[in-house]
Amino acid sequence: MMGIRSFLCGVLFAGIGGLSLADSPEQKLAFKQAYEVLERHCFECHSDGDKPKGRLAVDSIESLLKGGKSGPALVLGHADQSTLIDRINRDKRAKGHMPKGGGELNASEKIALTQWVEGGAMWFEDVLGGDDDMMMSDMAMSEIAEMHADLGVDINKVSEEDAKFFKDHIESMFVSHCTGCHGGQKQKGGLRLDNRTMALRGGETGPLVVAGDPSKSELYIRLTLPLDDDELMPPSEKPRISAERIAKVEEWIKRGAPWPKPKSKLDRGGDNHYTIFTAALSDDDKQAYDSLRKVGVFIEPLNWQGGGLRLVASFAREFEVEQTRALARFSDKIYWADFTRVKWTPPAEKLLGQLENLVILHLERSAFDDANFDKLPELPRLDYLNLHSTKVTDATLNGLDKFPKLTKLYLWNTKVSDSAVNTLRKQRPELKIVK
Amino acid sequence: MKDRLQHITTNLETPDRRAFCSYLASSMLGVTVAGLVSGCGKNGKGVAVVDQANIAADGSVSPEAPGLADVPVNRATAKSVIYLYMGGGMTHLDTLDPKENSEVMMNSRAISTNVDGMRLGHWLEKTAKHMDKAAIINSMNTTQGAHGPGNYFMHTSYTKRASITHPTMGSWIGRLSGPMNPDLPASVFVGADSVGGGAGFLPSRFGALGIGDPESGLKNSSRPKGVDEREFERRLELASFLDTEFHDKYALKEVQAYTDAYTDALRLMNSADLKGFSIEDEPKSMHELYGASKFGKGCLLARRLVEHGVRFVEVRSGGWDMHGNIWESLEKKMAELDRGLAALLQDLELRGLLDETLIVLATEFGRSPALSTQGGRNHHPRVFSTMLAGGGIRGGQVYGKSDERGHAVAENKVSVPDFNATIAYAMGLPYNEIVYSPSKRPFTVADTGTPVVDLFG
Repeated sequence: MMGIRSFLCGVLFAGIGGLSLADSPEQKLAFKQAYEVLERHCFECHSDGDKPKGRLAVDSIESLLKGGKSGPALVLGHADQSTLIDRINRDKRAKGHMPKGGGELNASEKIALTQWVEGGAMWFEDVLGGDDDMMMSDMAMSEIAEMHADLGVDINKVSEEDAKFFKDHIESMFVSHCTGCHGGQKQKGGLRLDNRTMALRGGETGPLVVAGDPSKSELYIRLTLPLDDDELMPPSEKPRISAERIAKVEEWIKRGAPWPKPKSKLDRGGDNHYTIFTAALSDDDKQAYDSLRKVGVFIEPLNWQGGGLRLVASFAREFEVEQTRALARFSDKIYWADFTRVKWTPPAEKLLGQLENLVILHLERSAFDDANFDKLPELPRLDYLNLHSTKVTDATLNGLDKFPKLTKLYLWNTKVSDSAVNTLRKQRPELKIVK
Repeated sequence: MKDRLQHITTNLETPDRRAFCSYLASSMLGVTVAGLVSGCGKNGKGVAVVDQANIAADGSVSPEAPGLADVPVNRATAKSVIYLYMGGGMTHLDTLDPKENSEVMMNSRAISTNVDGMRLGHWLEKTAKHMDKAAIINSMNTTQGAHGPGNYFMHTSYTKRASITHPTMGSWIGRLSGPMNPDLPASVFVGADSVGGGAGFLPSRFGALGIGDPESGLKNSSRPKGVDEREFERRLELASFLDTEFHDKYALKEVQAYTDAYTDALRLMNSADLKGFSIEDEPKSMHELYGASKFGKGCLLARRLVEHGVRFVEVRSGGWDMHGNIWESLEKKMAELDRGLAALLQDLELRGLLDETLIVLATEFGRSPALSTQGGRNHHPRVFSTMLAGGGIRGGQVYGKSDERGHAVAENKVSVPDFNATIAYAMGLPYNEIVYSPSKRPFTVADTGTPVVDLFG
């Protein structure tokens, strides 16, 4: 952390010296740090939307500049004239001190905000939520990489096994024993262990590890000092780390201290109702699902709240018998099926034939004919049947007894005759027929 | 288990996502998973979440359990949306909210429709024959009186901010429902790009694919001449090789967007569904039905795309900002709208697609009852009208009322977020689901809008 702070000072002075560093990574880093402070201490009461206290919102640069009851919160480039900075620097007991309620920003947080304002309070929406590694200067990362490369370790390549080892043994230890003092809130000795890049850079006493060599690694040395040593970590008054865990640290360093890159926090889409559905499938179901998907057969829940499944078979090229088997896993929950444009082969017929709980069935715009219709099973719940632009004729209408609950029938652009439709209308007045 | 399933499908008071997921998982896995499906039951603001206690050990949810009464009823009645947007502010008095024998009508007059008591402006003669399929909202209200902000508000449910761009409805659908046809984008817009089909803060691939001219379809969608398939693949491999390092180094939204765009474009190039974009394949009779206007052709393209599994198609029509010579402008614009809209209603009904396709007629605001000195009507955000048809909407109804002169809302005000929440509701989207922007600010599909559920059923 020290390193970054002095680094920032450099930026600050460069800024004052009149050098323009528009959009530089340094400015982005300054913004990100300031934003995190605002987020941690201010957003709860001063956010746009939920009636911000004192009519001041601090979650966008516009609202900061517009200010609240006490006028603008910021004067760009002038921390000494900015209400925001004034308020956080007031004595805890003084009127107008922020954050309200007795809290106080720590020194590094105050510096982060002050330097950001001095630097012109640049706001970069795009850097928010990104990967932390992106925020580091290229130099910092390449230094670390070089350090590891000397030992034949590529820090950017971490095997799945190593990643799991790190997660199970090292990261969990950091969380339970270390990040209280070396984390997001405090960075004692300039060390931060909740962030890969910062951790590998180490603290005031140098890099965290020397890959492959525990005896030269600060982390391992500090963990294994005698109990009465001042340098021992965790400090002697804190709970001890078990010998097994320390052995894992040793093993980890010997393996080359593989630390997987954090998954990008970019919204890569997140859950949609279909990913939620697939995530809940068993391995076997998932395999069946994937095999269907591969040939263009698509299953999704009808909506977020459930209500059965929708089957879209119309993007499939051609069916095989094995897909019938895969589909059988889902068939009783499929209420809605789309077989438009499907080529009517025996496997296709079989596929459709096993969907006994259908409520809505789309067969339009396909070569579906009377013979295919004959093979349809009884569908006691079918409500909607679409046969427009198919090859069905009057013969099909005679077989509609199979669907006692049918209320909508679409026959436009077929060879079905008007007289057959009229007869059907008389027989089943509740049935809406569109021709 | 069957009974339980029956309950979920037939009972509209379905439980929330967590209950559904837990049910789904229990039925698929045959085990209890109350805690397993974490992440399924995110609470949204003001939404009651089914309490863990209400989920029995077998994963079933007791509908009588306390807390469920507040869960919003939500079921998908629509599979796709065709969103017709009249850019510039469509007059409400001359179209969907005519005032009988009132001096505000000037050259317009009300005509009867195929539904008793429902009246339309006389310009909508063809559409009037299909009002049994449509619901009119005559009590729309917006807070925005200028085109840019109004347009933005209508499309996103949020007012414009300099610090963030909000996603449009089509992008939300892409984000929350995913594409139905794996080869086609979830959302397409047809016409001039006045607002952008923007993904906003969502990943760019959820943005709508833009088609400028419905007749030319999708441009640049085939391999260059003289490049065979193998050569094309080799070039792609090379490009992807050259990109790898850059992508690893800069895992940014914008960079990823380029890759996504390439991938999506390639899939589309090889898709049989590319045909969905070419209205040339439609018979003459269809072109005749929809009319020769750009808007009419846009409607025809929209119908084709819906048939090919696109979830959201917006067709834009410009030129509704009629500050002067309104009667002359109306003559032309209304003819296009009337023909296109009536054609859509009729065509979708014949094809059995109206049940599952929601047609939306929307605009940014209405136009003033009083005529301007140039013989036009000015912007009027206080009250205006929209129309919804198909997709589970109960046709033949008028919802809400404006006052005698069509000046202000008189009954059942519907805000822009309410209107968008209604569309989201029809699509079965979780309109209370919070999605965070990269700056970790919470957003929902329709801000704090509440769907007008009276329109359904």
